[in-house]
Amino acid sequence: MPRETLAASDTALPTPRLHRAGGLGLSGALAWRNLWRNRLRTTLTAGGIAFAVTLIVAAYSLQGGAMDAMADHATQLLSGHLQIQNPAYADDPSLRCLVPDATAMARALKSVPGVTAVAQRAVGFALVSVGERSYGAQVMGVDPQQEPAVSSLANLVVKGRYIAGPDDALLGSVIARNLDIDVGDEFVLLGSKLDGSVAALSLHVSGIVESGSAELDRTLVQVQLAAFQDEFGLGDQAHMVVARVSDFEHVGATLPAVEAAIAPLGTASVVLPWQRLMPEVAQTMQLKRASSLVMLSLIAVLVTFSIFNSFMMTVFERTREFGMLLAIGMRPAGIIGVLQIEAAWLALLGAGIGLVVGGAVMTATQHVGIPLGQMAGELARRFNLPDRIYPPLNVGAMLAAPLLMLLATQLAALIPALRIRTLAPVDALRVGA
Amino acid sequence: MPLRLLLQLSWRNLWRHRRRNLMLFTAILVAIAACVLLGSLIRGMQNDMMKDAVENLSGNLKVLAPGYREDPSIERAFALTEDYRPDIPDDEMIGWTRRVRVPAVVTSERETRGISLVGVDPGEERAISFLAQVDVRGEPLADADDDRILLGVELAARLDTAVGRRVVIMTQGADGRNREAGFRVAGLYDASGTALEKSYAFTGIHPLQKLLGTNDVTEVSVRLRDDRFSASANRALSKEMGGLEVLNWRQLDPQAAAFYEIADVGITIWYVILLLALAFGLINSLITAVLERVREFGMLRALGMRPRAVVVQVVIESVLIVAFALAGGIVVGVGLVAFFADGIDLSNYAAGAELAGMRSRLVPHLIARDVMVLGALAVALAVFASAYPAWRAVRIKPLDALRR
Repeated sequence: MPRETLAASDTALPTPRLHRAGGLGLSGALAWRNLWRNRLRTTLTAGGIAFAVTLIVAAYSLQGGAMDAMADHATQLLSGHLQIQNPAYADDPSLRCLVPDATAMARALKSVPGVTAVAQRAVGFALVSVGERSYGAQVMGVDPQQEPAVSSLANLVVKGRYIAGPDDALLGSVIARNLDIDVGDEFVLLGSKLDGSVAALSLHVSGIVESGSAELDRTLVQVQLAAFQDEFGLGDQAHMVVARVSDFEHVGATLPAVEAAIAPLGTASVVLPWQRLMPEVAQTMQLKRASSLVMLSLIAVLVTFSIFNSFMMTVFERTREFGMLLAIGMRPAGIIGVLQIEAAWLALLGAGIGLVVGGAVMTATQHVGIPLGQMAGELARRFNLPDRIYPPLNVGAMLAAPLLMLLATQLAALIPALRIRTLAPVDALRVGA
Repeated sequence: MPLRLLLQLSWRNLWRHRRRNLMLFTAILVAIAACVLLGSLIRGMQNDMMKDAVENLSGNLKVLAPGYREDPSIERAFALTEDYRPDIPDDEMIGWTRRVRVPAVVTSERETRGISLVGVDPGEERAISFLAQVDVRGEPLADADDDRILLGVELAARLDTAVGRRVVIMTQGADGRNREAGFRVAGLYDASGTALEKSYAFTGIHPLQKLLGTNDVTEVSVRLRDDRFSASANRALSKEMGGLEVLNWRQLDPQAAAFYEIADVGITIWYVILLLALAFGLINSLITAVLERVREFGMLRALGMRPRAVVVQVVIESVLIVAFALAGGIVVGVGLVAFFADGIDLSNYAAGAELAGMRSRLVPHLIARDVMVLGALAVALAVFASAYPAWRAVRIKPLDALRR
């Protein structure tokens, strides 16, 4: 539609608004040009902003990646994303604290949308003996069909195979070495039944597992769930029903549905997300987040200082110009407005560069992965990290960092700009003349 | 041109733009102070890690029989004469002790758990391990002949037992046969919920040796006054203890050692990042200072100032402001460290902190060498930041400049 027609057909459009619109466009263009009157300064200030944005994007992506990898990896080993337990079990992990109707519970859990894998587990302390040698062990009764879907232990078997039959057992590498037994050897498991009488199982080593956790390798014995339940007198009870969901980040969102699904079974069982199962991992994540927040805010503050300085220099240098503008009738607010737009352009420029650089670096990193190296390898074992991490780009940081820098720049520009309100045009025009 | 004159010139130049330079000064000061505090917090964390590693029964050095680490049983013990004493001078060693540590199964009326049972001499232990520092409910062990048992609070809760009750210990004797004996619980130690509490129980070394049917020990642990004596003490021990392994805490606890080394690198990385964030503002300000004085520099050159003197003047200006901010920042940083001398409370993150080898209170620990490294980096930054502005200043042609 031709312009004239539009103007003619819309006579109600008030002229002042047209003016204002034109004014803003003009201010924007003016501000952009002003910015390039001191190329070097603008480049450096934008560089500072870009540095901060790059750092924030990279730090959050790296950290997010490392943390998610750490936490998800930690859940893979044994704990799963969530568990149903007897409410007393968390404080007192003893044989008595059972989940009744574990099979029905597992079935109910399986029906919850988002839950991808479910397994029941019974856990007890027992003595494993070979000849005269005895060691204390954490014995887990697991379902060989369900278990590999919730726990990575089955993939960590270094010798032999995972358990299959009722007299098979999977041993941690250290306990196997301490007992001096190997795949195929026989050993005895001694414990006490639910009623206090002696439970004894004669088992064969079907496989040896190296979990990477020293504690687990020293104490782990896995046997078939049914055999464990029979011998320890548990019936259809278990100590935990472990589940994995499709998306690690949405474990919390799944909880209400899980609670609703198990409610009809009428037991006093509780649903615990991984944060409750592994509080040390969740807390380490919080601690890291808190400390990196402090560091990154510090960097943002330092960069804000330099933006402030840069605008102070700009305002000083242009005192004459501002005096002139005031003299020919521009309002102080108008000049401040132009300066704020300059600040906004600067922030957008810096943030844009920062996003491109940070995004490119992290995208490249994501493809190549970061090898954690030998030194970090020890840490990786402690935190159950994989050898190489592939940190995904943190979209939240990519939105938040530019906003933060935009805000900081506006503030840093406003303080020197406010001087203009008290500027007397005549004095200003005399400056440097 | 004499350096004094140049210094004077640069100094006065700084005061020509008080407000701008004050901002710059403040920014650098904040960064330096933050670096000082941050560095000491990381050092404090490292201290905790090493202390924990050393005090948690590792000691700075430990003598073990070969193979004991893989298979910690009484079969891998070694004999030690009654009058043995490590050949390490007293001014290098805080103390030493012998221990018998064996895997055992402890059973109460209700529960059974696997633990490490450690036979100790409480008198010797007092000087060198965490046992002296923990709170004990009930009584601590009296001496090396005390035949009662000291359990962790957490373990006692799992076992559902209490002070004065009896527990049964089952372990493998020196002849390979299983031994069983009842122990009365002397006390419960509170190691603030650490993993130690769940897995270590203590009794007198002599009753344990009797139970196991041996006079051997499984380890000798030495606590040094400073880790730097480690190498010489290691040599002395290796010489006396032919055929045995002498290990330092880094070998005994490689995870803590890895953390320790990562923190070393981490400090420098943070220093560099924070100083780089400053570089943009510093260069900006210096360039403006040069461009404002084009006429002045031109004049000076026309009057015969050497290009080199121009460069030096710009560099001095940069170094001066950084140096003053550095001094101020160190003062503020040290003040902050003093302010946080009681430590920062991390108890909300206690379990996470423990996993990272930290305690629930993080106490900053200032190291002079870190401050020196920071100072050197800051001066390097000052010189680096002044490079381009100085080059710009040198490029000024006296004739063109004076014509402006």
